[in-house]
Amino acid sequence: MAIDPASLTAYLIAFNLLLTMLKDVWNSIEQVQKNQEIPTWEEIISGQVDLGKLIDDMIKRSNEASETS
Amino acid sequence: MIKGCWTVGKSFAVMLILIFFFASFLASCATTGSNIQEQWEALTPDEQARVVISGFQKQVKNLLISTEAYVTANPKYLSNWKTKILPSADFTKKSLDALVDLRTTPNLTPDLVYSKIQPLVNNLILLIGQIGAPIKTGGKLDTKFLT
Repeated sequence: MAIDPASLTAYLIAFNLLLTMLKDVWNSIEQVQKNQEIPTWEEIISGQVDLGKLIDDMIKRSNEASETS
Repeated sequence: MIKGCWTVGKSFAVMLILIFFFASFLASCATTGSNIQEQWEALTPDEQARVVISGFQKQVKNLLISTEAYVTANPKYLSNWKTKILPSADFTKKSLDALVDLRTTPNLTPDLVYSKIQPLVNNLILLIGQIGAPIKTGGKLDTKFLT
């Protein structure tokens, strides 16, 4: 079960890249954990208003697109 | 013979190092996963409900934005978008409104939010899937409740 140096180097580089990627993902999760808080009801209500506006705008755009097509 | 032993020994050492790194990573994942569970359970039902509702808001918004872009590029699905997907999203939003209105009562729990909204979101995803649009929910675990 001999491994030539070139293959060994390639394996190590690939594994290192994989670990780096996993570490980045993990760091981003930890960052989210540290920086963010539970949304307040005011933020949720504001989000509902934004969502309603988004849907209304989309309905309006879809009606316009139907008329032009 | 000596060279052969040296090569095998080197491979074995590399394997050990790789296993060590991977085991360390798995251990850190397990620890953090356990912390997330503990912190979730430490939240009040009201806080949990807020986290869940906020997650659904983002999910619906992401689904709509990505699907509108898809329909703009594929106008043949405009009819489905207008008559099925948008009404479904609007109904989901109004159902979320009804749950938000319960915020001052003890009736609002994360279980109630899931049981009312998840089927609606599933239906929305189904309708979007039927026109072949990519499903982009942004559905990673919402960990913003963790401090």
